[in-house]
Amino acid sequence: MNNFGTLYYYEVKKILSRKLVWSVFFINVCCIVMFTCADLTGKYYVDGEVADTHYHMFQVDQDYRRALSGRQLDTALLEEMQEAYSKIPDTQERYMLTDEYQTYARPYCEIYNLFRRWTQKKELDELRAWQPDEEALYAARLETMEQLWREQQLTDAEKALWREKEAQEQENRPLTYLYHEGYTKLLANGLNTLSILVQMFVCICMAGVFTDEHTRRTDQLILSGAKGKEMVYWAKIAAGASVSAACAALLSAITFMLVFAVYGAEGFGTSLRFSAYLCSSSERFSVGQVCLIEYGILILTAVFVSVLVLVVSELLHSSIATLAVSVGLLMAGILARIPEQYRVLSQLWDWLPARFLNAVYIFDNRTVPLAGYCLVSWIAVPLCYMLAGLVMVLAGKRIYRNYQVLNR
Amino acid sequence: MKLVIDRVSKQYQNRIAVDRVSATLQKGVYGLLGANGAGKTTLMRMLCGILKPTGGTITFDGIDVSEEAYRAVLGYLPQDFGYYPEFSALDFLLYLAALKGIPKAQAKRRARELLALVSLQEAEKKKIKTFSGGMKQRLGIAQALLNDPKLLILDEPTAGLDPKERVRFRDFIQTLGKDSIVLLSTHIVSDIEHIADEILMMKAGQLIYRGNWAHEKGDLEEFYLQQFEEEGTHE
Repeated sequence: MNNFGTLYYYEVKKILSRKLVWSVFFINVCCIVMFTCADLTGKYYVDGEVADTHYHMFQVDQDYRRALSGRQLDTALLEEMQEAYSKIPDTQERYMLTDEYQTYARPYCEIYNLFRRWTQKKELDELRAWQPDEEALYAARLETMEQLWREQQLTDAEKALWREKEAQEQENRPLTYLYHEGYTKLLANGLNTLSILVQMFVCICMAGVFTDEHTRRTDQLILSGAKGKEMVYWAKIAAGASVSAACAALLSAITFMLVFAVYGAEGFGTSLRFSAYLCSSSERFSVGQVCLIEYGILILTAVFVSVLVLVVSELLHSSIATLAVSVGLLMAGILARIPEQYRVLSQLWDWLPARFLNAVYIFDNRTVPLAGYCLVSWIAVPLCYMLAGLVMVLAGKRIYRNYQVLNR
Repeated sequence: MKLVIDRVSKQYQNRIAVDRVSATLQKGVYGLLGANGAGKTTLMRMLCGILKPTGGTITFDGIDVSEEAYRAVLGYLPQDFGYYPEFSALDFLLYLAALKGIPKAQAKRRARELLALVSLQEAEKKKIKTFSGGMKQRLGIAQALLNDPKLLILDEPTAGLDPKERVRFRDFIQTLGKDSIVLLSTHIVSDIEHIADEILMMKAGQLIYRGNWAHEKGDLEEFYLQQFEEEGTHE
């Protein structure tokens, strides 16, 4: 065990002593800073004229949302919202440019957007014709969800599962709105962007962990050592996996800190029903809990992808070929999509690490039937990753042990 | 202490690199001579367990070459091998000591002893990327000795050493041969003719000569060159 610790230490040192690792990490940090602040830069144009800056617009909306924070989503709030929106002249096509919208309606736009998502009533006239009633709003959400479940071709068991969760959540109504912009940002594109950055880091930096020994010709020394055919393999796997996990954790921490610094950290306990990005999920989590689950899965995925890359590199004995395969797989996952009509295929495709790290797929309504239970994706897929990782590690060990040093 | 090589062969698709080599080696220094492509490196790699023989067996005191216990008594200096440029000389030896299963505390002491032995104690904290070819070769020799090997296999160990270092190294090998089996391959006959207890000569994958070389037998270099000439005649 003592020797394993030393070997692990030196394997980590080998990885971290490569300039490539720090270069990719630095680029990733720059990307995180850019995507966090990108929405706040630039100007808003109307008919070719500067109307406002994005940062000022964000500040105004942030103030309005904070003013609503702590209020219950009840009939009174819905009436206020409807009244405010009713003041907008109905002759205007672009109602958001009217003074009435800016003065009266904009403070309630968060509630109006939720109304639109839950009821599928997308036009302003439909709001005007609607009779504000919290019971009707919560019932409309159920209807919308039922329609979505039909479109997603869910089984009866799945529908029953989600109906039960919706019913449990509705016991807590009226739900309380909390300002949660930071979590919205983390859910909407923070995770997605970060997952791609982390996976790129892993693909680039782990492709050489085994192959560098062959190209550098240090493999002869390693394999002729007493611990070279067994312990070194595990030390390399552990080093690659832990550096990948550390990278994911560190980049996640940087993302959280930046997002919270810019958008605010309040609203951890906001019901997922309020999330603009994940309102189609019936899970009974808060947006904060969802973020923790997702970023936990990100770290696990980084470990899984690192194992995949390490084993493939030992199989191919070439870091370039490994990079081509792993980046190719990553790009295919990002770019290609299988329609939901092909339920099994599309579900499996969405489990690819490149696709899965998306709030919509992690909290997918499509589950995995297992012994009469519906196993939800955020449990089933990490389990699959762990199982597949274990199989790959054992297969990789076999490949590593059988490696022979030939003339090069 | 006995290394038994029993009808060991290595065949690639259409070429036999080592052809049914058999030998039993006991304590002492063995010089392995042969032209390029004679099969010396292939045989040595098989003796180190990093290349699987197509046929035959290799055992050290009854322990098969594929076992960890075999590698635990082995010291190996490959002909052409790499380093970790960002590692210091001490780090390199400590890493390889861990790889050989040497406990941490013992490894540090042994690494420092060997660095002194190969005159690198002043450079123990310097990164290997700053080393000259000779320094790297000396570091390679040091790593092969980390575990006080009972079986020491050295493939072209004097390459890159200056004449003074070469003489020092020869004397040191002779000392090691008293307690262990040392097999060293070289192109340079003078490297082994005075220190080797026995000479092994390979040609086209086969062991064509084995025996001690006394002065009365004539000049070893001449005999060695004669084998080349014969090879040329055959071709």
